Amino acid sequence: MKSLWTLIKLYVNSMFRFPVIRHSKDPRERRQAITGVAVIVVIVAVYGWMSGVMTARMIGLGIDPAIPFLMISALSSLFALVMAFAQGSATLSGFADFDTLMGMPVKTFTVVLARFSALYLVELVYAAAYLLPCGAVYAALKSPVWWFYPAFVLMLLVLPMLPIAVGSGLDLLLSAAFAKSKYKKGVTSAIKMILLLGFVVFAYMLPNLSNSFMTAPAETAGLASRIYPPAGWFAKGATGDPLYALLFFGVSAAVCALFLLILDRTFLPLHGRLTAGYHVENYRIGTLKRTGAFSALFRVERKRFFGSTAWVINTGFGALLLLALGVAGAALSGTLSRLIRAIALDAYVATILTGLLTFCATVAPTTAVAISMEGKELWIAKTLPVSAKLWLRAKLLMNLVLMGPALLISTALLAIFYRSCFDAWSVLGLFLTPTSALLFSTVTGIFVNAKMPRLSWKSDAEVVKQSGSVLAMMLIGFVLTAAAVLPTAISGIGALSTAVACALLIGSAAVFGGLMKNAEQIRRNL
Amino acid sequence: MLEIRNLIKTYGNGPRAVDGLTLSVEAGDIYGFIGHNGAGKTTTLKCISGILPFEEGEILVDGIDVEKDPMAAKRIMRYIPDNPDLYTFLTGTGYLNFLCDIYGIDAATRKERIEHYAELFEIAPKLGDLVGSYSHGMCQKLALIGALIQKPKLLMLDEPFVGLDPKAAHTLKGIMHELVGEGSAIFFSTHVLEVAEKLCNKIAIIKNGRLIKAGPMDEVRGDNSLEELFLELTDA
Repeated sequence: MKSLWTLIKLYVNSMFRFPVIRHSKDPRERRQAITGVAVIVVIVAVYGWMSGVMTARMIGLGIDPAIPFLMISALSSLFALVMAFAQGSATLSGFADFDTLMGMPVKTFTVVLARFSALYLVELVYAAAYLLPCGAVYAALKSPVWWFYPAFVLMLLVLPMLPIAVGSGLDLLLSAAFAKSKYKKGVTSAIKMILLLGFVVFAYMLPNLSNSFMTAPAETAGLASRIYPPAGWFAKGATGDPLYALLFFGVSAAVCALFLLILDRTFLPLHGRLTAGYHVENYRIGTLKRTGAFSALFRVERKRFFGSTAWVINTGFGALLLLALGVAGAALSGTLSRLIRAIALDAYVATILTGLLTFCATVAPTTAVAISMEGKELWIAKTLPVSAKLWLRAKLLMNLVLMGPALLISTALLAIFYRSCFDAWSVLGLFLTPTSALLFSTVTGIFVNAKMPRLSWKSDAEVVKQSGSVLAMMLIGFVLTAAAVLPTAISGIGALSTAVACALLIGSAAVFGGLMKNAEQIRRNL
Repeated sequence: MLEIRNLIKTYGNGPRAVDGLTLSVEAGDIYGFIGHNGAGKTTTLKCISGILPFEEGEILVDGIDVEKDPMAAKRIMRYIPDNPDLYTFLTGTGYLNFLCDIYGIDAATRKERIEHYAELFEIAPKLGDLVGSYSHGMCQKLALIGALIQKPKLLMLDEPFVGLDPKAAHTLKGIMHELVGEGSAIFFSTHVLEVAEKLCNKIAIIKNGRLIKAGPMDEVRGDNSLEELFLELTDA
């Protein structure tokens, strides 16, 4: 038990960098660690506020109080499932301390449980951010019976267990299946992206789930419960039926325990399989092509990106969502256009699409962790005879190459298929605003990462998922989306979108100029 | 080839890690740099190679100031850390080809040099594998090949023999002699005093960031063994 607690503390400290905050003598490093935690606190507060406001509004409208519980528990379970599927195997089997731990008198189960707990605790923070305000609002407005409080807390505590067990179990199976393939990272990343995209498309195909929660709540709740029954049990358990609370608690804990037992039995061979490298028999050096320094730097950046499943899933998904948005928007244009006309939304289509495109293009730029991902290999970039400007430009180009084509294709498709909803200004805004926001988020990503670098890490998932720079860029993505949408939505003047785009272009040029001017200093100070 | 004048480097608010170091390495030198743990050896090497900025002093590589013209200095020198973390997501060949692109080595020369050194270090059959699957010793060999294919004028190595098998260590010693014979210089840190004594023509001893003895091996050592001298100077 003592070793388990020690390991959990170790992983939590490593993820949130508490020892750096407490003990570092370098004020810059300390400031960076504090900022990282502060950004997480802000995001949690924003989630909590949104959840509380939505619950209060739904209960105020007379909607069954079980529905906000159902929605929010389903959402946080989905979030935990996606995160565990994207990064579960990296956390469970990827930490570099495996050899050290296995050489110590620590049980395998303790290591397994500690690593699972590391995943669980992070997801619990987010689940609590969603559900605690929801529960508090419900308690304040509905004065539930006494057992609501312990039942709610117990259900909240076990809520992330089931999705993490399922998500990381699937991830481990997938990683193990392709462990000996030369292209294991690429194949697993591609399969994960396809599965995640499939899930998004499936959710999209449901009959306007999020809207109908407000318009036909009972039917929609029934549908959501059928898709993910535990969310329905959670909602019923929280709002009056203790048997459902017990059922939710029991099933979550049992699935989690079963997963941990299986993982304990298979952990050593599984770890061996996952870490076994691909080996080429009778290798001979072939023709070696010569390229320029910038191409070489970009090639390394590209291979580093596609070599990290966690990075691909977190940022490449934005590009896929963009494409899905364009293709689905085009495919369903007939139905959607009729719906838009029926509810007189024509005037808002350009603004909504601009917002969606901006959000997908900016919420997770690769540049947010491009410096951090150098990790301990940074000495190579520092000792090579390449200017820091060139080094940073290769990182900027990676994000533009990934997101740019997807954004342009999607924008073009939407501009063609919804042309009847646009005037000249809104078409200009549709192309210019998300593109300039993409440029802005690309350069700002590097700037933010240079301010909050995280170069000492054990698993790439730690950087991609926990870095302050990633969370800061997520917030900036929300702000950019609001900036792209709100001026036009409030004033109704289409030209404002183009004005925002111009401001973003000027901002991008200024940040880019600053980056290039201080590039050497940025690299030297890392 | 390498001139260090009054180098001062401090980490944060701590004491000086390198305190007024002045040293000169000539072309043709195999210059050993010894000192106890935390004496300032790695910090000095990192300052020369451009990894760490420093507060005071001047470092010239073949007459080029590393602070004023770092790109020109980096073009003619190479540094290999004691525990080289290489790009794990590339194959061995991919990593070496990347370095050749950065240093502008033409296609025919790079193939010839890579094959030559890969054969010498017996790593050729492994170059198609991902660096992430390499052992520490193999990473060390790959890092050495990456430095040698460039034929640097100044080669700096931090504990180069740690992790190498005896045959590879012997090969490296031969290559070091070959390289200085062609007019380059080698500046390396080590804790293996027997190796330093046999391999180096010059030696420098550093203690708490300050240079306490430097010069030709025979002059510095006198009638003592290097180990005796080192213990005498560092215990004082």
